[in-house]
Amino acid sequence: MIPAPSLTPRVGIGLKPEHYVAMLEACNGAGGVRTNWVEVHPQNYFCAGGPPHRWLTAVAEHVPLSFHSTALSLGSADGPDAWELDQLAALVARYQPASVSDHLSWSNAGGEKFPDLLPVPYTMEALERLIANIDRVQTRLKRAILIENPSRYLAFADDALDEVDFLHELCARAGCGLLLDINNVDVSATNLGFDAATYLSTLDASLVGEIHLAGHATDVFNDGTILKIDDHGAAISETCWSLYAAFIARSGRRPTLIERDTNIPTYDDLMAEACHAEMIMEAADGPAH
Amino acid sequence: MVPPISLADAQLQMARTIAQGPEALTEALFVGTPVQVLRGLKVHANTISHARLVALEATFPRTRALIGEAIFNSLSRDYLDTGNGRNQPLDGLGRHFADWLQANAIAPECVTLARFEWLWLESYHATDMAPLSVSAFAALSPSEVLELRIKPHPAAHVLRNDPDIATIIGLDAPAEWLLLARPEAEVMAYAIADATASLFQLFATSDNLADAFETFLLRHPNSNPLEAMQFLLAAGVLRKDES
Repeated sequence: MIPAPSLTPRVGIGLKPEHYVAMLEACNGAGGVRTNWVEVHPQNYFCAGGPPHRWLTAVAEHVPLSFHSTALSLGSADGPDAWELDQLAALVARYQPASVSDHLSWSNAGGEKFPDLLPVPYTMEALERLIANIDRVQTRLKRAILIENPSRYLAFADDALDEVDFLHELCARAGCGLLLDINNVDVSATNLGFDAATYLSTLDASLVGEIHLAGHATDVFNDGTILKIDDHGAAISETCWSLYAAFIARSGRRPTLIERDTNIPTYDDLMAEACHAEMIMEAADGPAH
Repeated sequence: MVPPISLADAQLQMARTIAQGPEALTEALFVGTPVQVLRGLKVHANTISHARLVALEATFPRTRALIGEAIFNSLSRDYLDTGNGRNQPLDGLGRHFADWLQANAIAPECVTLARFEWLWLESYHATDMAPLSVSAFAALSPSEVLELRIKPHPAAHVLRNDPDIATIIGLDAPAEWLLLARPEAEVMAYAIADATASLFQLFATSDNLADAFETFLLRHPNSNPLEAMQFLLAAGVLRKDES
């Protein structure tokens, strides 16, 4: 597999239409902090033309793009979503992003599309299916992709591997890299009762091509149970920041995304979180070159 | 020892459970108490339901405002619960919403407005293409004009304005038809007469301009096709067919 061009090991932001103007002003020196790169959901640009492409073209003239897909359904027993793959391949050819990623999840079954990242059991059958599906995607895109660890609310009775071992095996055999979402580790650890710091300390850092930092919602039930929900709607939690600092101290610099999909903050607020992440990377690994 | 549930069966069972509720969960798919499992499944079911409802709200903001938020939400749930759009990506969920509103006897102006909003979205996302301009048309010789093959611009649509929603969408005057155009970045809406809409539609089926004008004059003997043509060119809703 041809390795993809990679992102610069600095901090980027998840770009939403609300940020186009401020982001481009910052790039043109008209005020605000310039971002190093941006990530978008390619599904928002699957249209043939119109304003979405005008904006994305303007953005791509200034900074590298990362495409973070949400709907290839890589874990589906039916194979990846053919329509999504066609659309993604066309968009990748058009914009040549520095990185392409999707999730360790499924979102298609029996002809129905589910707008969610549904969990995959950590069985050998699921592993083989994921390897085959990722191979199909990478062959079509002519590049390696990154796979994001999921937020989990459920553990399967048939799980045969723990998540870290499953990811290691997947990356080794599919030739893909890992998009490490540290908020997802925190969410899954709370919901399923494992230790997030141990998870991160055992993960092979050399596989990690990108890190996501995000916030989450928390439900506390009458029986005292805490359920963390990965809604990408809040500022990055203190737990997430400290897990990130510990991981970066071990791994060195990694491209890091400030991710927010709901309760969208201003560009300046996102860049404030980006500057904080950059400081953590500098403290651990010195200034960016 | 119980063999593991196949991946396909596990996913179909999970899909059924999300659609029908926890009673559809027939096997011990997950670990944890029933309460824990139910809480986890609810997160996924809520995420899916919320994403679909928000997608319909984003597609039909004016219809939602006209119907009222609570009723729109209830209608959206009914539309989704009867299986509509579930094989579509989120931005395609509303493709048949207007037809469904009509079939369910919702107020006709809401149906027309929903149709308008769907076409607005199609216009917004259509292929970028330079329209045939008034100046380019004026520069053609008479023989070139008669042989000219013209087709509707990919971002252009017409919609019968019945009942009239012109004021709801911010147009000054009522008209028989609405015309949507996006010659450049912005989607434009116009109120147009029956004859103008007719000429626009004729360009989709006619071989050339002469044929379109001939049919137009048979249908609208008291209308001037050049006036309609000039309006359509100025609105940027025609393209030269190079095929």
